[in-house]
Amino acid sequence: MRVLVVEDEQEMANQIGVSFRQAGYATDVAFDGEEGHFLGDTEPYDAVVLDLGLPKMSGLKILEQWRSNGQIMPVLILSARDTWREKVTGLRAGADDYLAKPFEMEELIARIEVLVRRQAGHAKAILLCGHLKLDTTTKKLFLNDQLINLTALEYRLADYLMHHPDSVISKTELTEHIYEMDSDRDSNVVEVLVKRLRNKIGADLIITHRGRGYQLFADND
Amino acid sequence: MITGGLIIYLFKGHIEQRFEHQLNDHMEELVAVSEIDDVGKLILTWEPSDPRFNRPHSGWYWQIVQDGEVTRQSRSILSEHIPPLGRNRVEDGVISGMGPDGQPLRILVRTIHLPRAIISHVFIVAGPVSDILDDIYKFATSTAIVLVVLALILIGIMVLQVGYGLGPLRRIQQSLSAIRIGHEKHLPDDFPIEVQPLVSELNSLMDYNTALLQRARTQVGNLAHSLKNPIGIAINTAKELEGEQGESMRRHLRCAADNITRYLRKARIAGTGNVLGACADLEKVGLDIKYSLDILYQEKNLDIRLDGLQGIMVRMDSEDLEEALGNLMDNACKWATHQITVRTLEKSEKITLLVCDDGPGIQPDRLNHVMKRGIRLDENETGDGLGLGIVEEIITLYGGTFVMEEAKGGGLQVKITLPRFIE
Repeated sequence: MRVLVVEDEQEMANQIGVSFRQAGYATDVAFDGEEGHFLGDTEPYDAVVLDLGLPKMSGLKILEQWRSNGQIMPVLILSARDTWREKVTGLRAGADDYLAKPFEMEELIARIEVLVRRQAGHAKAILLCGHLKLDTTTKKLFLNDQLINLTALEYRLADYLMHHPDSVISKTELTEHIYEMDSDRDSNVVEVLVKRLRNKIGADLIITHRGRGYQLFADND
Repeated sequence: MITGGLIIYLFKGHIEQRFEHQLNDHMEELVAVSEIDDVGKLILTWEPSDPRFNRPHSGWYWQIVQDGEVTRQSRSILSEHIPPLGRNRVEDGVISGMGPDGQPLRILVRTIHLPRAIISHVFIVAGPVSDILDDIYKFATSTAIVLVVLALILIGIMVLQVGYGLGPLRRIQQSLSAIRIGHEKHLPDDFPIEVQPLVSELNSLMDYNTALLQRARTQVGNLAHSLKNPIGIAINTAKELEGEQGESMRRHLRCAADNITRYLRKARIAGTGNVLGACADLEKVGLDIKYSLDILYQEKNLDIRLDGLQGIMVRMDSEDLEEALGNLMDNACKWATHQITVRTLEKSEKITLLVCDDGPGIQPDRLNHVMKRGIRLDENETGDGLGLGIVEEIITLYGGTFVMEEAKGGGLQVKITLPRFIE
């Protein structure tokens, strides 16, 4: 899962970025409105944390433009302005959640998690797929109730596949949702990553569709 | 009245003068027709022509006296006499006297020595005072009528003038109520020159008021922004500190953050319904809040119901109403299991608004305790209670009441009164 954080206070943006990465998200950070708007418009994020008072372009305007461009990723507004008028305006402009500063990092991450899950069509925090179980709150993957130890990247891959079980997902889509902007995006890296995950959860759970992508196999048998 | 009196007084002088002229004319005629014959006796070549001298007791008389004896007199006197008589010399001029039948008279007396006469004759011509009075009475009557008509016309014109002249003031009043309802932001600037300065002053006063509130709110917003970011960063940084020290720092930072949030919220309250244009649409605000809460509490799948809010206008700053209703409904959503309802009860000068949830509610003993202390929910409970404290503060500032009680289903019911806007 890949998240965009648009926040002009650099130190805070970095703190959020670090926390999100720790929570298993590929995270891009934008420090001004224009950059944030551009990234959100061109990259497929699974969720966005958006400040309102941004230089160059206000958060509200960014949100309105995204929505009118047909961008449907969930957006959480993170603002120091906490009046109901601002909440109403933000939510009416198309936000999916509103969190007032100062906030607890855990709260922010939990809320983003809910948005991501909801977007993928899951109502519960624990995702099941065959004998695989992903607890999105503790960020842990279980196979037959046995905890599987994963690296950060492996977790992101498992997380994305678990959110979209049974669908065939292209290498490009996987790359886009697992890697951050400035990382090396060689398609071979995904192949290597899939191979490593297969070693941990069993090769037959991830099916390769040649030329189309990968599928997490959900059959219980 | 005064004008009438003055006119009649002037007219009276004029009438009397004319009357005297008339007497004088008759006198001259009488003198002209008088001659002394060869025996020294006075004869009249013809009788004075005016028929009034022939009508008995008409009030018009003439009389010629020689040496205290009446030599000739008009027929109207019949066989009586009019003063002055006697031998005493009488000054020429006009005197007042009584006629034969006790009628007041104006009498012109002139002593003339006719040619060939031995003794001078006293010529007397008299006319009735009642003629003068009649004329004056007639004149006064018509004067009164004319003056009354004139007064009526003047009053009418005055009423029209005042009505027309005060027209702009009425328009100001209408515009002010349009502003009050929120249909207009300013008074129009097409008033007559006499009123326009006042209107402009009012406009700039209103602008100033709005700008002042807006500026205060912007400043508070900026302050919030500039305080909350560093505190947020500090809280997160403090998380990396282990042990007692880190715990203490986090606790204090959180406390500071809560206080900042609370007092900045308080600072934003306009708190007065007397400001022009303070008028908020209860239903619109309710729908806005419901829209927001439906999104914010999507996970809980709550049923938020608004009942009887249509068309109710509240005399409050709309941001204040949003804060009050938003926090109330937010609190209800926090505790509710399935449903929250917002409905109005009384709709007289005050609107009673009920916000109920079907959550666990507050234990009755604790509810009493909380109410007795005048609600300090926000002072000791961070986060959850913060909203209701500000609600009570806002409602109290608008002269309303804030009561918490048990809802029918066992949840919490908050009952508040809001000042109604009546056009």
